[in-house]
Amino acid sequence: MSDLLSIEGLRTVFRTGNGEVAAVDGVSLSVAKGKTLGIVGESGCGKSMLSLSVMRLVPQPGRIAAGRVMFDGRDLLTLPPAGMRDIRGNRIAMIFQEPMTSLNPVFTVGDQITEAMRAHDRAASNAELKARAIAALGRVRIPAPERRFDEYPHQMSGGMRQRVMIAMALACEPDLLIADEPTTALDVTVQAQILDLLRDLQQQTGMAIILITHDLGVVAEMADEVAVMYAGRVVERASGTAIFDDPQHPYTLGLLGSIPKLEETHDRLLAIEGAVPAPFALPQGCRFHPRCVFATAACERESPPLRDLGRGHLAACLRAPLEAAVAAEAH
Amino acid sequence: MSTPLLEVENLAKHYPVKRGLVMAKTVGMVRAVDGVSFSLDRGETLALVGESGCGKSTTARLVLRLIEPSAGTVRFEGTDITAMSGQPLRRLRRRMQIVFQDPFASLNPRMTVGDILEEPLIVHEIGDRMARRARVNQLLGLVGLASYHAQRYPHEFSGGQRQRIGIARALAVEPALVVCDEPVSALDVSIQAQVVNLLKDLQARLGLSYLFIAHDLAVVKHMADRVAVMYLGKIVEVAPKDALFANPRHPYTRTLLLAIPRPDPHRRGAKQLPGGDMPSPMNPPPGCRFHTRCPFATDICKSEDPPLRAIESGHMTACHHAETLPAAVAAEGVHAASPAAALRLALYAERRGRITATAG
Repeated sequence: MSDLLSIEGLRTVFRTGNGEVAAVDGVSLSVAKGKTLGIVGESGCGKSMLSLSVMRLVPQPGRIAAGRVMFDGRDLLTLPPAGMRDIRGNRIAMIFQEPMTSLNPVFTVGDQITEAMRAHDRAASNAELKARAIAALGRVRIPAPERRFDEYPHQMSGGMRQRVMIAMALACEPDLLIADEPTTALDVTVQAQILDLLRDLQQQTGMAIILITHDLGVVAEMADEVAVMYAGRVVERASGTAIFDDPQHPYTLGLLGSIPKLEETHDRLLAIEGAVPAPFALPQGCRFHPRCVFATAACERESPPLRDLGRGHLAACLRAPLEAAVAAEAH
Repeated sequence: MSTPLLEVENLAKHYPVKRGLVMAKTVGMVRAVDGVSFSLDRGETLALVGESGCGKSTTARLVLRLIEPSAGTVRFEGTDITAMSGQPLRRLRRRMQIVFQDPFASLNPRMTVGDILEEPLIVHEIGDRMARRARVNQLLGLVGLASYHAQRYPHEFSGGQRQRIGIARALAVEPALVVCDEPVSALDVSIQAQVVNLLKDLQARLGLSYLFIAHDLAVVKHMADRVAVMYLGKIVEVAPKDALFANPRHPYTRTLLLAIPRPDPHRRGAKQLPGGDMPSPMNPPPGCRFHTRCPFATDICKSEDPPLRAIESGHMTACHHAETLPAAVAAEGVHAASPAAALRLALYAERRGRITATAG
C-alpha cells in the first residue's frame, strides 16, 4: 500500500529548566491516500505536538531531534523553509480546535479565505478568487454562501466558524488534512454534522485525514486506522474496527470505559484514575504503569516495546493479551 | 409531600436589542429564556440539556439570582427569592452554589488554592482562621486532593484537578443546591468520567441537589434523576431519566440522542441527522420552534405553538405529534461489544473495583 505520509522514529524535544524533555518520543505512523488515521489520547500525551512536528511548526524552545517525515517521497524535515511553505496549506492543511481563535475577528471570512488562496496562487484575479471562495463555502454546506462571504466571524455560530475553517483548509485541495480536535468545542449535534461533512469531503476529494481527538466515540465515526498515544509514545496501533473489537492495551480499555454509554445500565463510569505524567517526570518502565490496574513488578522495570500481536495489530504492553495474563496469575 | 427544594415557575429573561449610540432605540427582544417551569427535590439531580444558545445557562443564573428575571418566580425551600435583597439574599447565597464550565477561567490565577477555598468562608463569616484552614484541608480531601495542594496556584494543576478545586469551592459553605454549568464539557473524556463519579459520590455523602447543565445526553444519563430538554428558551420535554432515554417523545430529544458519537465503528454513518443550526432567539419561528429542523413537522406545527403537556405520569412533552411519532430508535443498530472487548473490559472493571474498594 502506498503511504502518503509516513513518520519514522520522530522525536520532538523541549529545552526546559529540568533539561531536555521529549514531548514526542520515537513515534512511527503512516497514513495512506484517501484514508483516515485517528490519533487518540488525553491532553498532554503529545498528539498535538506530533501534528505540529509534521507541519514543522513546533513552538520555541522545542525542536525536532530525530526521525523522518516522508511525504510523497520527500523528507519534510530536510526541506528548505521555502519548500516547506509550499507544502503547508497547499499540500497539507490543518484545522484547529478553537474556530473562534483561529479566525481573525477584524476581517470578513471571505477576505480570509481568499487570502489563503492568494498565498498559493498569485496569478488568479480577485473576481476569480471570490467565486472560488464562495464555491468553497458552498461545499462545506454553508447556506447562502454569497451573503456569508461578507460576514465577520462573530456573526457566525461555532459550527459555522468551523465550517469556514474547513473551507479555508480545503481551498487549495490538499492531499492531507490534519484536524486537531475539530469538534471538541462544539455541541454534539453540530459535531455530528461536521464529522459527516468531513467524511463526504474526503470521498469527493480523496484526501487523507489525520484526526486528533481525545474521544474514541469520534474515532469510531471516522478512522480507518487508529493510534493510541500515551506520554509521547504510541501504545497501540490497529485498524478502526480492531481497536474497538479487540482492544489490547489497558490504556485503550480505560479510554473505552470512560465513555458514557447510552446502553449501559450501571451508573458508575470506569474512569482511569490519575493523569498523564509530565514529560519531565516520566515513570520508569512502562509509562502507564502507575495508572494501570494490571501492572506487575516487571512493568515498573521494563519499557514494553510496540510488538505485533497479529494482523498488524500492535500494542506496547508486557501483559497483552490480558485475559491470558490474568488467567496465568490465578494459577 | 414536602415542598421541593427549588420551584421555578414561568421564568423568563428577555434582553432588549438596541440600535444607535446616543438615541438608542429598542428594536427587538432576545427571548433567552421564555417561560420555563420545573422543580427540584432534595437530593435529586435535574439535568437541563440543550445546544448552545438554548437558554440553559441563563436559566441557571436566574435560579441563582446572578441575573434578574424579566418575569416568573423562583422559590427556594418554599420562599420566593425573586424579590429578596440585603441580608436575607446574602444568607441565601450560602445555600446555593455554582460550578462553572471552564476550570481555566473560573479560578483566580493569583490566588493559592488554599485562598480560593477560604474566600467563600471569609465572605460568609464562617469560623475563625484556624477553623477555616481546617475546613480547607477537609475540602481538599473531599474532592480527592491532598492538603499540600493548598499552597499551590491554579496553573500548577491539570484541567480535571482544577475542576475538583472548583467543586471544593462550591462545597465550602455547605450548600443545599449546587448548579453545575457544563462542569465536564471542557475536559477529556477520561477525566470527565472521574469528575462525574466524584459529583455522584459527593451527592451520596452530603445529600446535595444538583441542577446539572449539559449539552451531551450521554453524560446526563450517568448523572441525572430527571432530565429537562430545552430548545430556544423553552423546555420541550421533561421526564424521569429512564423514561426519557427509553421512550423520547419529542423529535428534538431524539436528535440529541442520535447525535452522540458511539464507540462503535460498525454503525458509522448509519444515522440521519436533521441539519441546520438553532434559529436566532431574537426571531424564533412561529408555531413550534423546532419545526424548521423537525423531520416530522406538519402544517399545524408551523402555526400553533404546542404546549408542554403530560403524556404519562411525570413525562411531559411539547409536541403536537407526541403520541403518533414512530417508535423511538434508541435501540436501533446497537452493536454489543465484541466478546474480546467485553471480556477485557470486564477484567478491567473488576480490577478497578477491587482497587477502589481497598483505597476507600
